[in-house]
Amino acid sequence: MDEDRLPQSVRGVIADAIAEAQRRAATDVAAEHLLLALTADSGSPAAALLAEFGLDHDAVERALDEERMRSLAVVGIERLDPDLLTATRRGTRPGWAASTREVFRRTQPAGGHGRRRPAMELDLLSGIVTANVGTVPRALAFAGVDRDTLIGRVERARRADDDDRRRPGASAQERQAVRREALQHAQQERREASWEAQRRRREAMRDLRGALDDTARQREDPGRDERGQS
Amino acid sequence: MTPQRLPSPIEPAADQLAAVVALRDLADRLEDAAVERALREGWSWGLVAEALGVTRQAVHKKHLRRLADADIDLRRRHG
Repeated sequence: MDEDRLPQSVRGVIADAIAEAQRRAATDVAAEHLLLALTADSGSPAAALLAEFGLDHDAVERALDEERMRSLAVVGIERLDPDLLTATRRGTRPGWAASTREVFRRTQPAGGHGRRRPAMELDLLSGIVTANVGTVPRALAFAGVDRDTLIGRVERARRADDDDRRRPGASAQERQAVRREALQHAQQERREASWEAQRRRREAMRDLRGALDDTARQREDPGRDERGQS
Repeated sequence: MTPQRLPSPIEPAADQLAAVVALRDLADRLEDAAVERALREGWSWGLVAEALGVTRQAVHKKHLRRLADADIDLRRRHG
């Protein structure tokens, strides 16, 4: 993932997520570190929304620890001597986990680089909480958070934010996003019309071919009809 | 099972997969701690590599930068 190509508005969150991953001695920056980074910025809409579900930074951290503990318990690892895991922190920058790439893939925002930071954070949060399986959904489940309610709440917040931006006086970038959407819609309509025309042509060809075949059969065996009659 | 069914993140199959994730993470952190401890106790990089069953280059690549700054006497780090 090329950080320089990320919108300016998320770079702060990304930097925080990298720090969270390093602090938790993770080899990769994963979706849970993005979630931790979002909760750390208390006062942001994303953090406020998560707080409604009791998810402040500490609570998310506890939920992640709980998830880790329960997952290890599945294979019988119950008590771990923390001394066995005490090590000097890695100085190198962690890589990107697949879950982080997935978050970005799921939240390709309509306005892209024009999104303000609060809106981008809600987009990111949406990409994080819509994961069906994995560490984050497990941690949320163990924390007693109802995922569907949380997703609904995030989507409502995003829609409210979008409605704000659609009002007259929207910025050039926002108007461009609306134009792009209209263009895509028109393209889709043209594509569907062309599929329909193609389908009709194909049907006509099939009928024509059928008729030609019948004629050909009659020509190969011109006596058939007469014989049948005699 | 119908392919359409969305699995729960905490059903038994998900638990087992999550255990794999947690064990990988645990192995990484355990390796960091174990390598550091052995070096502090005077092991050479070569011995650590042999004990881990990997090449010395692999251990170097993974841990040298992290431990070079730690207050470990790494006189024999190239041995």
